[in-house]
Amino acid sequence: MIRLPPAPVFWATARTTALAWFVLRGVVGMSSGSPSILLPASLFLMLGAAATAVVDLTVARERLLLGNLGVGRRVVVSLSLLVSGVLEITAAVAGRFLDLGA
Amino acid sequence: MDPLFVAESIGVSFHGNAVLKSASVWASPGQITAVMGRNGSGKTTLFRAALGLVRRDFGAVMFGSRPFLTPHLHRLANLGLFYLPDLGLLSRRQTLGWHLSVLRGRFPAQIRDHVPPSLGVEALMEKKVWAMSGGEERKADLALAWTRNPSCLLADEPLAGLAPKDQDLISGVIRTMADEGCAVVVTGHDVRPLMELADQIIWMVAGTTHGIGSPEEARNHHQFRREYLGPGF
Repeated sequence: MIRLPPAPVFWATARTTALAWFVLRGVVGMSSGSPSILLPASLFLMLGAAATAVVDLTVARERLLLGNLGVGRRVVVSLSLLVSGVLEITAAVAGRFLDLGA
Repeated sequence: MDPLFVAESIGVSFHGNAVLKSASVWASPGQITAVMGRNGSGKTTLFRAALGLVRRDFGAVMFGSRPFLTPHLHRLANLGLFYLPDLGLLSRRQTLGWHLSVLRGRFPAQIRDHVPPSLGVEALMEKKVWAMSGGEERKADLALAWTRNPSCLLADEPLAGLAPKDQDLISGVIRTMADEGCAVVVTGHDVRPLMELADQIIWMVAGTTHGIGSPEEARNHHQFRREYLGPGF
């Protein structure tokens, strides 16, 4: 059974997701005029690449700490993608719900 | 004794320039190996390449009897390796106590339950890493390594920038770890304390490495004396 160190992984994932998502959402939002849409697969892959780059750029020190704790970069990037997906779906559902209610 | 950790014939190039042509490093249980060489000779790059933190052009890594074609720090860490980088390891927003509790949660069965009092880190337990001095941070890094109780420790410049008293203290802790069976590799330029600490010396020059034996043999190695130690040593 894999035992994850919750706190460092949580913070690394939160930072990675927030930064990568913020950048990507800004680009998508500017180009489409939509603040939140369900990301298509290609953009989701871009988010993965962005998250990977963000891990390297912003959590370099933490990456070594996580490495020493036996947690690889892929875990953080995968969790970032998962959280991003959940955020996007939540935003899409909430948007539809609000539209129906209007 | 057979080495526990071996990085063999590592080659690394950046933008077409070969930084490491064929460099090797090895660590045997109970022994301290010191990798010495001039600034920019590639000591840190050798560690980072052996741990999968920079891309290798070629070379192999073995841990125990297990070969790693694509080594990763986290996989080696799960087998008992601990890496102390030269620029600090701990998350700057957290305390040493927080790091130790995370480590205990992660490896509950494989850690030491105390930090050596001689390290003097009790006062640092609740201090944020960003508020620590360089020496305190180095001690805190080592406290984490000690607590992990690794079977192999790679410490990049553990004595750099420290007062002689702190160098002695950290050397003592590293020696105790080796005496308890840990395979240790250290790098650095603090020649005298490193020569006193090490059991064997690896000389890194021109992108490759030479095992030149014990510190005594290193002192009598003509080329090592002439090109690295200098006439005053």
